[in-house]
Amino acid sequence: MHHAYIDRLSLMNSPVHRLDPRTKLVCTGLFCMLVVSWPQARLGWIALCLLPLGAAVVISRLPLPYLLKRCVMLSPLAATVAVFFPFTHASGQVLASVGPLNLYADGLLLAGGILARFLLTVLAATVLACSTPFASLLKAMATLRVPRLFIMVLAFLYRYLFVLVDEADRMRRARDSRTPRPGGLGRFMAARGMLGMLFIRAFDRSDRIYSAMLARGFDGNVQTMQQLSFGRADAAAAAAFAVYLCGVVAVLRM
Amino acid sequence: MHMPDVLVSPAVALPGLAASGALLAWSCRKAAREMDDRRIPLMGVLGAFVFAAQMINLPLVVLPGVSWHLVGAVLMAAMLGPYAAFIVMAAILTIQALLLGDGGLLALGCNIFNMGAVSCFLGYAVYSAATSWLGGARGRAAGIVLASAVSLTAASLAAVIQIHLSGKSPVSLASAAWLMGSVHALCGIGEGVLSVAVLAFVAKARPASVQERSPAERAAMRKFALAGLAVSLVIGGFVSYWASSLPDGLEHAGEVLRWPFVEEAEESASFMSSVMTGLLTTAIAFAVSLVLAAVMSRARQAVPERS
Repeated sequence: MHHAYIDRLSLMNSPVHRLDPRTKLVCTGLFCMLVVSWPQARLGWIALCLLPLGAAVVISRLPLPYLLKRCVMLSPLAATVAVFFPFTHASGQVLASVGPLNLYADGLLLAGGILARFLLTVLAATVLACSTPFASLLKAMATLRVPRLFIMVLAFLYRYLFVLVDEADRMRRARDSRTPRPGGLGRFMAARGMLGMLFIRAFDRSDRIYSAMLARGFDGNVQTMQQLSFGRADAAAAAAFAVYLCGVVAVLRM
Repeated sequence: MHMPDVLVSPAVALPGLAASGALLAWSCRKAAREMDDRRIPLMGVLGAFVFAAQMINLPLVVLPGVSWHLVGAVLMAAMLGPYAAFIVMAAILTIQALLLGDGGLLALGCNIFNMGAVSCFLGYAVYSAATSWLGGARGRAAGIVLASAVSLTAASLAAVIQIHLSGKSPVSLASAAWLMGSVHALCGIGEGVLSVAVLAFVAKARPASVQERSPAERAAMRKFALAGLAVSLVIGGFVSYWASSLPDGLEHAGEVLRWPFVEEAEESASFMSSVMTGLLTTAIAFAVSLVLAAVMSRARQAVPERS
């Protein structure tokens, strides 16, 4: 895995990709807020949320199957919680009963609502991630007053994440090819050695990085060429989203 | 344990974001004051290390089929101090949320609070209490195991409480707390043992990376431990306040063991028994981890140094 692989979608060119990352960040946050606070009684209307999301997916020309696959991969916790609701939320009609378990209609609706909201929020976050290079997101966060130290740690973490994940992967492959049937303690000792070695390599690497930074004239600040600009397209997108939000709230109030 | 957006209502998510943001700003100021630039790449690369380390899964011996991995918060706190460790953990969680969609954007505040703040600060408080009490390698081992068990359990309980406050918990607070708390106490002990082993490995290969603390530092740590224990008492009080609105803790635990998802909330809550529930879980984790730490440090002393 390489960061170019994760970033390959975010380096595409489309009107959505060209938007100011701050616009996208704020709109995505507001959208998630809208989805999460959607009233359970109006669950059918949640399809309205597909409007801006669908528009973003279509305009950005991101591959929908890939986006959906990523969302499904992330669902274990939400799915686990949702599975319990039809049996434990004891209200409404009993649809079926298996032994001591009753399947409740209201609980089923609740579970459906959770899954729908989950997909919408995760899809929105995925579209944001796939249409914005991480460096631009960092720049946006810096202008939104996120502490400088935190931004720099994020930047280094992102840069070396793939390097160390690759290293861990190679170690894991080496272990698997040498220990076809690992026992409990053997497995533990192998993990100890792998993690220790990984730690030492990371530690040594950070020393080399620091020397390289000094050699390039690091003075406590990271300089980048990129400038953010809030242009006409951003104003239009933000205005459209604001109109949409007002419309949805008006519909919900009816 | 990364909570997605749906499990946290805005009324819980927004205070969570505010709390984590404030803690982060404070930690950045604290950390920037007491460190040199050399630690900036170190923090980033160690964050990447934790990220990669989380890929190495281990089977949970007690529950076959369930695997666990290192969380790394206590290991980071022991290596870098609580503030830098919190920044590193917050960075990891931010990347997981922004880049991989693991954990929601709104829930990010709560996730950083649980897996960053609780794990690093509470964990460090327990760790420094144990090291200032025992001292030396044995104290460090005991401290890490204890800190991992306590902080992981506390983090999972915090998540359970947040989901419950959001009204998104399918089972009663007591059964969710018992399930999550006991599983994470076990994982925490495993995490602690593994962290001690890794730290011992690193200390042998790169003694410079694991520094002994000066008396002044140990005094500072003791102060930190006292403050941390005071904070955890407050949190404990808060938890038992919530627990006091639950059905009888021990009785309920019996039900949980037979059938985990009984849905009956009898309002026969006795305050003492619900407090007992919390104390019992913590005490079991404490006892087991103390014994383990003692056995481990004795075993390490008995084996003559190889190399």
